[in-house]
Amino acid sequence: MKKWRLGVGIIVLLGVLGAYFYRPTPTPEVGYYYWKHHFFLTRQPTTPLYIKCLDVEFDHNLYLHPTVFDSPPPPDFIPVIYLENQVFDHIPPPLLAQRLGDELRVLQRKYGFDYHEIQLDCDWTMGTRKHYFALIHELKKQFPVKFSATIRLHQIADFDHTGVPPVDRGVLMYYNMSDFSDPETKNAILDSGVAQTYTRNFDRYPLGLDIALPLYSQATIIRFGSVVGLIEGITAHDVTPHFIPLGNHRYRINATHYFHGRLLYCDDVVRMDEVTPAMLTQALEDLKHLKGVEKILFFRWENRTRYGEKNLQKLVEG
Amino acid sequence: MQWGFKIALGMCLLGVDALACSDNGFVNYVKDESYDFFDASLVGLEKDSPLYYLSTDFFQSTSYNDRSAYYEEQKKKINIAEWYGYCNHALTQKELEKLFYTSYSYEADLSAMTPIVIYRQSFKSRLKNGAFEGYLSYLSDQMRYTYTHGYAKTTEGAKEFNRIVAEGKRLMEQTSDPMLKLRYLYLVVRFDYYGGNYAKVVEYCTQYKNLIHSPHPSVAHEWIDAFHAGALNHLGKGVQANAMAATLLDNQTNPYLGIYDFRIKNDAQWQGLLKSAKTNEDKARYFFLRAQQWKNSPLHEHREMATFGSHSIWFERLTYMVLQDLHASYYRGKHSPKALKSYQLKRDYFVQTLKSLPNPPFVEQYALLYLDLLEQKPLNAEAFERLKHQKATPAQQKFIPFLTYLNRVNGLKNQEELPNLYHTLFTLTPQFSPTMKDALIHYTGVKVGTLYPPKSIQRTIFATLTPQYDVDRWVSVDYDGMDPLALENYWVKTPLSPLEKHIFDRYLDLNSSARSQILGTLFIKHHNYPKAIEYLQKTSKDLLTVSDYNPFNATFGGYNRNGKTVRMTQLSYAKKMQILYGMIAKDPHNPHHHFLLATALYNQSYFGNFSQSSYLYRPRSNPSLSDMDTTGIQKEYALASHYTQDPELKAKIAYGELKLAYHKTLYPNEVITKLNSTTLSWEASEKLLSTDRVKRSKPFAQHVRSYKATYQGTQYGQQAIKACATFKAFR
Repeated sequence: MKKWRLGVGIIVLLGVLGAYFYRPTPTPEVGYYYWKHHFFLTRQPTTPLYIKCLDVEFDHNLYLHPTVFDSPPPPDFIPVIYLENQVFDHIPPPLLAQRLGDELRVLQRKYGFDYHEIQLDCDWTMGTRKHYFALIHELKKQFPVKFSATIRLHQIADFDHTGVPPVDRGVLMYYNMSDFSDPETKNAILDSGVAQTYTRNFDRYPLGLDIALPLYSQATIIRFGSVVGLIEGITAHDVTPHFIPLGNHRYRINATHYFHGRLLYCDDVVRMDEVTPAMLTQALEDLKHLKGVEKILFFRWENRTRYGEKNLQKLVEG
Repeated sequence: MQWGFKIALGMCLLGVDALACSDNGFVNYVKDESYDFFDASLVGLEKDSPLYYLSTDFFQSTSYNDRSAYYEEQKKKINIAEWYGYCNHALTQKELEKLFYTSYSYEADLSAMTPIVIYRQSFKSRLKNGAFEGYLSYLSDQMRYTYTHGYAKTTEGAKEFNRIVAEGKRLMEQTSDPMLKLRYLYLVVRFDYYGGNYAKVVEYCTQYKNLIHSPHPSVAHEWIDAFHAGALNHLGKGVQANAMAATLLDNQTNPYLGIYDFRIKNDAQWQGLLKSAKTNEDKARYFFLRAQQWKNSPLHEHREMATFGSHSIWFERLTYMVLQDLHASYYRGKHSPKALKSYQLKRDYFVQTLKSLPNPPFVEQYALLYLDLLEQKPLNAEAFERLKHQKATPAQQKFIPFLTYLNRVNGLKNQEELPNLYHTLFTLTPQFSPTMKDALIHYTGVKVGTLYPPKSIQRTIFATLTPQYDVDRWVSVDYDGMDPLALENYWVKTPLSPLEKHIFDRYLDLNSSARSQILGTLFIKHHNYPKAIEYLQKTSKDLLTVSDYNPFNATFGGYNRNGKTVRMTQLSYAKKMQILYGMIAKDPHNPHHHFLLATALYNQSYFGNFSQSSYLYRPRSNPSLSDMDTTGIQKEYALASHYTQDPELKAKIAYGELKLAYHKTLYPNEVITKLNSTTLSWEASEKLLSTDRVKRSKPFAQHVRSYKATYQGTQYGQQAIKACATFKAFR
C-alpha cells in the first residue's frame, strides 16, 4: 500500500514539475521578402522584413544595382544582397567587399536607415565557395552586425562538400528545387517529391535555420523541346481560350498571340508552375523535423494578398 | 622544412583537403566543334558585317556590342568623309577626326574650352568658312551639356536648355546650306530628345520632313530618324514608332537600331503595323524584325513569311540567321541528348518550311544543302545541280565551290588527296571573311588529322584546331604526351605540308629556340639527358625553366617542395643527371648514387619539386595515367636498398617509397581516368579529389604502421615519425 502511494506521489510530482517547466514551442515569426528594384510602400499594418537592397552581377564588368527607395523602408528591416556567381570569377573578395560596403553605406546615408543584420543571397557552387565565404569574412570586418545567408536544399544535403557559409544563421529556401529549364519538370517552384530526395543532414547541419517558402507563380514556355522563357505572376486563372489543357498543369497554345507582353506561338506548350496553400502546408509538414525555426518567410511580399495574410499566419501556426 | 610534407600528408589523412584545394587548378571543359562558316556576303552585306550575325551569340549583349561597335566605326568614317567633302579638303580626315571625335568629359568645367573650340582655333586659317565655324561654335556650346548617350542635367545645363534649343533653331532657319540645316536640326532634335521633350522631337521631324527625306544632304538624316522612332515610342505611338524603326534597317550608320527599337507588345500593335504595310516587302520586314527579338521564335516567323514573301530580302536574311542558330544548336546537341532532340525538332521545322517553297531562291536552296553537310551527309547531287543554275549574286556564287569543298573534306579518305585539297583550300579562303577562313582551315585540319594514326604527332597537331566558341581561338598542343624522338623527327626531318606550315605560322608561333626547349623538356621526361642537353643548349636562357628547390634533395615535406631555395636551370639539371648516370656506370653498387637518382627522378616527376623540368604544362589536380608510372624511381630505390646495410639509409629509402604509396592511393587508375574525362563536372571532380580514400585504405595504413615498426629505432625514422602527421593519423 505504501509502495502504491509512493508511486502515485512520484507521478503527481513529475506532473507538477513538468507543468511548471513546460514551455510551448514558440510559433515562428512570419515575414516577407520584398524583391523589386524600386521599393514603395503605402501605410500598412504589415511590412516586409527582408528587402533586397543590392543586386550584384558581372557582365563584362561589375554591376551593383541598388534598390531605389521611393518610400522610406520600415524600421528594423534586414537588407539583402543578391550575388550572381560569375562575380566571384572576376572580382577578388576584398575588393568586392569594399565595393559592396561602400554601396551599402551610400544607401544607408541616402535613405537614412539602420539595420542589425545583413543577409546574403547567393547560390554558391564548389567553384565559387572559397571566394564567397571569403567575401563574408571581409564584410564582417566592415559591418559589426549579424550575418545571415540563404541556403539551398542541396547545400544542406551535401554540406560536407558545399561547405557552410560563415554566418550566424541561415534561411532555407524551400523552393526552386527543380530544374526550371527542363521541359519534363513537374513544378519548378515547389515539388515535395523532389524536395524529399534532398532532405537529409538537417540534424547535422551546423547553422540554425529559418524557412523561406514561395508565394509566386510563373508560366514556363516550352518550344521545340526546350524551355525558352517564362512569364512571371501567371496562374491557371489567367489562361485564355487559346490555352488547351493537356493535364499536369500543361497547356497547348492553339493560336499565335501575345499573352502578357510575350508572344506565344501555335503549338507552344505552357507549364503553369504555381504554389497552392495545400502545397505550402505540405512543405511545412515536410520540414516539421527542422528544429529551432524562428521565422517562416514568404517570397514575395506583393503576392501575400493573393493567399491572404491571415491564412498564411494560420498556416504557420499549424 | 620537413614540416611541409608532414603537414600536407597529415592534413590529407586527417580529412583536411589542403592538398586537393591547393592543387585546385582543374579546369573542366568540353572542346566544342562548332565551325563558323558564316559570311554576310551571302546576304548582300560586307563579309565581316555583324548585323545578321548570330552563331556565337549566346548572350544578347555580345551581339549588341558587336553591332554597335561596327556601326559606330562606320558612322565615324562616313561622317568624317562628309565633312571632308564639305570643307573642300581644307582639313585632312585626321584633322576632322580630332575636331569631332576628341573625347570630352561632360563633367568638365563649363567655362573650359571644348576640344572643338581648341581645334577650330588652330585650323582657323584654313577653314575660311564662316558658316562652318558658326556651326562648330554652336556644336561646342551644346557639347558642354551633352555626353555620349544623354543630356547632362546639371543645374547649369537645365537653365541653358531653352537658350540652346532656341539658338539651334534660329541657326537652322538662318542657314541656306542644306547640309548645315540638317545638321542643326539633328543637334536640336538630339538635345530635345535627351531632355525628354519627345513631343518636340516629333514636331520637328514632322515639320521638317521634306528636309529630312528629300535628297539627303547629310547622313544626319539617319540619326534624326532614330530619334524620331525613339520619341514616338516614348509617346506611346507604337505602330508609328515601329514603322519608323523598321526603316532604320536600310541605313548605313545605324541599321542595328532598327532591330533594338522595334518593340511589339500586343496583338493590336502588331495588327496595326501589318495593316500599315503598303507592300509584302514591308510586311516581310516587320516579320523579320519580330523574329529579331530572339525570345520570339524566328522559325515560326520564317514560316509565316514563307507564305507571302519567300523572295523578299528579309526572308533571305532570316534564313541566313536561322541557319546560324541551327548550326550552333547542332553542335550543342553533340553534348546533350535534350539539346540534340531540340535541334532535330527545329531542323525538321525549318526544312519543312524551305521544302514547301514553290520556287526557292539561292540562299534557301543553299541552306538545305548546308544542313546536310553539317550533319556529315553527302552533298545531294541533284539539288546541288539546281543550286548551280540558280540566279545568284557574284558574292553568293563563291558559296558553290565552298559546298563542294566541304563535301570533299567530309569524304576525305587518304593522304594522297591532300596536296590537291590544300591547293583548293588556299584558293578558296581569301574569298571569305577572316572568321570563315579560319573555320575552313580548322575544319580541314581536324579532318585531315584523322587520316594519321592515333597518337601520331600530326594527329595531335591537327586536333588542336578544334575550335571553342570563341572566334579568337586558343590553340595549344599537348606536347607533354608526345614521344620526343617522334617529335624531333617531325620537326627537324620531315617537310611540313602547307597546312601544317600555316598552323605553325598562324597559331603556334614557335621559333627554333622554343622548339628546342620543348624537345629538351620532353627528353628530360624520357630520361634521355644527352639529347636534352643538345636541345637545351640551343634554347635561349629566358625559356629555360628553373627549379625552386634542390631537385636532388628529399625532405619530409610533401612533394619535396620545401627547404632551401635552389635555382637550377633545366640545362644544369640535365648535365648533373648525365654526371650522375656516369657515376653509377662507374660504381654500380653504390647505394647513395642510386638513392640520389631515385630522388631526382621523383623530383622531376609529376609529384616532385622540379616537375617543370620535364613538363611543359602540368595540370595541377589531375595527373595522367603515365604520370603514375613510377617504375624507374622504384627500381632505383630497390637498388639503393639492395646495396646498403645502413639502417639510416634504409629508413630514408623506405620513406621515399611511402610517399609513392601515398600518391598511388590518392590517385588510383580509375580515379585518374574519371578525372581526365572531358564531361566531368566540377562538383564530381572535387569529390574524386577527396582524400577520404587515403584515410580508408587498409594497405596504406598497413604500409605506414610497418614503416613505424621497422624504422622507429633509426634516427631518420624517429624524425620522420615525429615530423609526419601521417603516422599520427594511423596511430
